[in-house]
Amino acid sequence: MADEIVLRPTAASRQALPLRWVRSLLSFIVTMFRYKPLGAAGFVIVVTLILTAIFADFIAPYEYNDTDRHRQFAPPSFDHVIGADHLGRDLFSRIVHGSRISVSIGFGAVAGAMCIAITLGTLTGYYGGWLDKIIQRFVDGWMTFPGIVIALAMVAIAGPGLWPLIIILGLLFGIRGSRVVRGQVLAVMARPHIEVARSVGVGDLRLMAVHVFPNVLPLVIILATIEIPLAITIEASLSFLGFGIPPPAPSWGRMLSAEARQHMLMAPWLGIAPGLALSLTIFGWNMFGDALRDLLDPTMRGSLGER
Amino acid sequence: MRTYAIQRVLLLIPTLLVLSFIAFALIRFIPGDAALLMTEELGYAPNLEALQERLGLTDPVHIQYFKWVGGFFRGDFGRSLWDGSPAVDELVRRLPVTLELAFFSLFLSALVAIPIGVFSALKQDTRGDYIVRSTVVLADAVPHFWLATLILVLPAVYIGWAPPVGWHSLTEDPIRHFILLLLPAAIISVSSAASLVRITRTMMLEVLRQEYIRTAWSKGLSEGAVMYRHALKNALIPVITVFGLRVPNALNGSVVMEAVFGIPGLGRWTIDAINFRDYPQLQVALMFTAITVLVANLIVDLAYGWLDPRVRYK
Repeated sequence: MADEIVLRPTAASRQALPLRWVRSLLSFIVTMFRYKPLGAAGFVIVVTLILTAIFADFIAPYEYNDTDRHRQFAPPSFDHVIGADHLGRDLFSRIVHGSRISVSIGFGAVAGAMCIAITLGTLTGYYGGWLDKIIQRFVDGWMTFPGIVIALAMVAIAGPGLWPLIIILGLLFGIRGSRVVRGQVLAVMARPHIEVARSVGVGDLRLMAVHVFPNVLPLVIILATIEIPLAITIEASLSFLGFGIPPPAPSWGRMLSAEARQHMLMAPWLGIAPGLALSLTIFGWNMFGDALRDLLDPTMRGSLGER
Repeated sequence: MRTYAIQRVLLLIPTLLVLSFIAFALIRFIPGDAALLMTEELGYAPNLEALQERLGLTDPVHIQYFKWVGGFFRGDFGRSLWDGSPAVDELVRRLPVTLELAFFSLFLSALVAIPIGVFSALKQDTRGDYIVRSTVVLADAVPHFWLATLILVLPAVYIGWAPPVGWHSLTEDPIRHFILLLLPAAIISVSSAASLVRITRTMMLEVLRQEYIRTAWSKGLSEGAVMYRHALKNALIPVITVFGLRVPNALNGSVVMEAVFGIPGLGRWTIDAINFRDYPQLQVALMFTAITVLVANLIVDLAYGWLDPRVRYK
């Protein structure tokens, strides 16, 4: 009889797993469109952004670095939907290509951050002890530095560029996120099913992976949706300050930077369009994230200040 | 309460040590030191080793660290590698500027956000409430630096006037000082105001549902008395926390705004220090940015206990 009380999914549910995922994802999207119109709008913006990034080569009429002296400061026209910049590069094409940077930073940095946060948070929360105490003091110290300030110092170490920034922002958010994950791990560890699993001799690794991790996952998804727009904003701020992604890459933040400001006097669209793209992206992620949060965890409402 | 306050202040010491360690370690990873920059790029000195020796860059790393931390406890924050001036001299000029900008912006955001949050809660689900909520959502999505760019560029293009940019010291000309400070502070305050409106509205709605508010109404108190004396006071307690959480954000904003508006604060100092590999300067800048956050957190924690007698510290 004891064999009946097994701690693994039944054969049926295991078989149907991929299908169940697709189905729950679809029903999730339907729910969002029905009850969370703003969240649905955010979802549409985010999907558009991702598609733009994937198909940038087909959408953009020109190369992002296609200079032409004759088109310098060309105003918006049929050829150049939102004009051209001081080197005669088509602004629309640059913004379309810039979505790639935004998407890679958002997903790349946050994927890295989640790996760090899950690993560090689960290990420290699960094992505890003196190592946990030391690491927590370190995390305290780390969280005290304002994000842009510490990111600036890290750019000085790793150098500018897309990959260094992904790593920097991944570390920045990962170490911070580990605190949240650790808290959740501690809460999950106190639940009875962990004790039951232990009592039937489940090992540490399996316990973490099969019994703790799935309970931490919703929180991790919520955390990720909060951090993606933050990562995009920090990248844009660093590029704006001249420390992010070096030219000629079409980073939205860089397009608004101080060197570009003098050109905006001749061609105001240079100052408006990239900022609009950036704000729309952040807006989309914020709205989508809010709706996701409400649907995933009804107890977590409202939002506090973020760092 | 007093024991808690003392404990809380004592706990700052280990945190400060951790901070100093992070600040120090982070900076040692930066490739190329000041001596390299001075000899190879600028030709200040013919001999790299001699210069490194003079600047104290040849000592083992842990010795450098202990020297620095030791100096910190004596109030000696090291000297700039470039001009040899004590970093503390420049710090006392820079830190107040950033603090003023950051806290002025927080003050502005509270000034605007709390009345709007209360209004939005009182008029829940009316047109006014929707307008407030959608504005908040939009304000949250607009990055500081784009707002600053728009404000500087658009009037210049279309009406041929640009808002004044720069910095004036408080003692020389206080009025001009605040005029110049107002715009960057207002820009930083936008995102903080958005989250303050949100939390004020949420807390107000929660408090208004409580029984003691019904009691206040049934006693026949006026609307003003119920709202401001009874409801708002309690609703504001969590707002204080959010206020504290916004301090790092205000400092982030200040770094960017200092660059845009040419304000000689800690943010610009940090950027310069990175560009010139001025380790002592960068260490001090990082440390004091973090200390500002720490002290703000401490004040918020203590204020919490003072404002809400139900909070009992263990």
